[in-house]
Amino acid sequence: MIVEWVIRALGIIAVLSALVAITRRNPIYSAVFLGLNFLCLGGIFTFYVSPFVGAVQIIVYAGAILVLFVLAIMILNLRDEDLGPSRRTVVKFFAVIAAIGVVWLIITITAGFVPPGREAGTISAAQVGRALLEAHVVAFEVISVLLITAVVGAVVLAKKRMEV
Amino acid sequence: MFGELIILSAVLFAVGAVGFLTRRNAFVVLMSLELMLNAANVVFVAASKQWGGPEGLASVLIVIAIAAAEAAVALAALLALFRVVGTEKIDEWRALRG
Amino acid sequence: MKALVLPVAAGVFFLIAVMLSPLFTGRRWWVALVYLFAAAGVLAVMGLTRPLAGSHVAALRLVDDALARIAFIVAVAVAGFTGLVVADYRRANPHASGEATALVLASVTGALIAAMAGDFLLLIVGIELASLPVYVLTGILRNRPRPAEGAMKYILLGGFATGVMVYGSALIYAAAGSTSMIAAVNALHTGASKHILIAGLALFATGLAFKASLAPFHMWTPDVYEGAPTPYTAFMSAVIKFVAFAGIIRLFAFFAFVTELKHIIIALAVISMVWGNFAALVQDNVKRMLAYSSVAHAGYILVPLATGHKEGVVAALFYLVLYALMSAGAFGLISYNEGEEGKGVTFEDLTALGVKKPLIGLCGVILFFALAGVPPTGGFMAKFYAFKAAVDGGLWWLALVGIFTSMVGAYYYLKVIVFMYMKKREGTGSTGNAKVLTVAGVLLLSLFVLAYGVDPKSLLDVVKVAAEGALQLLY
Repeated sequence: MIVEWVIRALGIIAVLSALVAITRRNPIYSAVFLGLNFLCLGGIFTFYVSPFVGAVQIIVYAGAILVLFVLAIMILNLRDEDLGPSRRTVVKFFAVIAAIGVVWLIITITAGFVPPGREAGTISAAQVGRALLEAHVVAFEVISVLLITAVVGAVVLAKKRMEV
Repeated sequence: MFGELIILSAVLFAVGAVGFLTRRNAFVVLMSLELMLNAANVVFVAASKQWGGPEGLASVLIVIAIAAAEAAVALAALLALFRVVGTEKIDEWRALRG
Repeated sequence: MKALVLPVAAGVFFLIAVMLSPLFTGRRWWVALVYLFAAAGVLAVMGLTRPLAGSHVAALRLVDDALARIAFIVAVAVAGFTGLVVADYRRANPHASGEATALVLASVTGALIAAMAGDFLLLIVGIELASLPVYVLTGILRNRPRPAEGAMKYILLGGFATGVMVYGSALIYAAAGSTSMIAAVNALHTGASKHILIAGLALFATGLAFKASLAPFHMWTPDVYEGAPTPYTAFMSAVIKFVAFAGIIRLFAFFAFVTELKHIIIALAVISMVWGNFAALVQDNVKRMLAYSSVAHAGYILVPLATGHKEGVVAALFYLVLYALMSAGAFGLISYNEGEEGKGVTFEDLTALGVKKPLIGLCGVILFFALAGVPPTGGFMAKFYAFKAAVDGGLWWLALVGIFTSMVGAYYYLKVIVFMYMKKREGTGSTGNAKVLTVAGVLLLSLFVLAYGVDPKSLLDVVKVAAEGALQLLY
């Protein structure tokens, strides 16, 4: 019961921090609030079903991806976005309308639906690992190729001097 | 609880999509992409509990890996582009115009 | 099982071998040779393993069927062609050779995984592995504004497509309890969670439409095709589109259940054909023109699919193979005329190319006639089958839209040929050096395009098996 309310509170903080993140002018503030969002989601995953996945969420997203973002922003030494009149007001309006439509649509079609399986308690890291190596074994292997490709690609793009 | 988490994910997905469509700062646009992927993770986690199987949680790990790979390449490309054109504002990239 | 693992293993092996290659040598011939060996080796592996008609490997969530094989053969062939063209292109535009080769091979590996995927998440991972290297290849001349900007725009829009697909697969998981396609089919049969499943499939299809550059999801296409180094544009226009449509054809098995989606497919087809062709009319840059025309071709491919019949899938696959060959060849031809990046890619720059270089001129005539759909090239047969399938499926007005828009399209393709045979002024492209490898590659593709026009049955038979296998997923 308490756990459910904790999850609800974390969910509300997650939504608010996401909203704050996409509206900040300075990308560093966006990054900080995005980090808060990741932490909340990690908390939700932990309390809801799997501490392991929650930990991975926090370690990889908040620990690695976000640090990468902050590093890149620091390297470029960005200033605040200019306050000049935004020419994208129309786009913003329609984007928000469309987004509300999408939320409404997803909520309507999922209303009342509960997957017919047997609800699990906590799912352990061992079970997740087993699923990773049984159900998703090919995806798991291909991800390794994807990651090395990403490393090579990032080096090719960002290295200062490249001997040809 | 399942229904509430789906609503949470829908809202996060929509917030990410709005950020993607409306922001000019490429960094914030990339962060919006991460938000969208996170929204999918929430669905995976919530459904995984209801189905009583760990497959959705394994999917979360794969999605996180995809997000990491994409973020690395995207930030590298942004650094390269910034060195050439000197701005991270999307609408100030003008080398390619129809 | 061996049949499945060998091509992937071969792809990864060559990927690593090539990644290490700059440690030992930097010669351009060597790089081209590696491509050829890789292509030959992988094709040999594919040939040694007997083709299976729609066999399922449920445990690994892979489908080993003719569609996967065709996708792989096309990807490897186009990668080999890219290797030939790049070897010449690099002289005017030096860039990291070993890394570029490795990235092309990684993309081919991803294309194979995506074409074999029997699981939505695996399909995303495959498409991601096919696209991520292409993002990097787009920006590999990173000191120039056009490639760098093209790469960034591609990453942003490609990332958005991935996000949408991931969310779609998450909804599919919520509805079916598994991301495997078989589970999704079963869930559709039982029907309890049909709406969520359809929403997930629709989101997934939207992501694929981005990757296939169907209008109105094509906004990245002109910028990326223009910005990327031309040989890599050839690669992405053929391989990424093929992979995206392979995914759409896999999903097609589901659409049979959901007849409402038919209207959306028809709408996408019409918008793509009209928008692509009319936007292509006003371009000066041939690469940009070809980009818009690729949007139009995506629309043509969707026309037979809208019928929902097996014959439609056959026609679409036939078109897809031909489009990959034509498009790669056309960009190869532009690369022949291009000197330094971005110089020699406008219509004026092609002036008198066909007079000065008769062989490449002949290739140009074949390729652009094929893109326009003039007989006896393969492009005509592709359009013929596509529109015939639409008429047979009762969508004669859609076929009419297709015929009308291809007549519009004929104008700008023939404009290329007219410029190539104008004698008035000298073109500004750098045709000074020989570029033997490019000529060889373009000639080979042109011959294939011509051969499939004269003898379409040879390809049609293969494609039929693939269509049957792809639709078997349902039953």
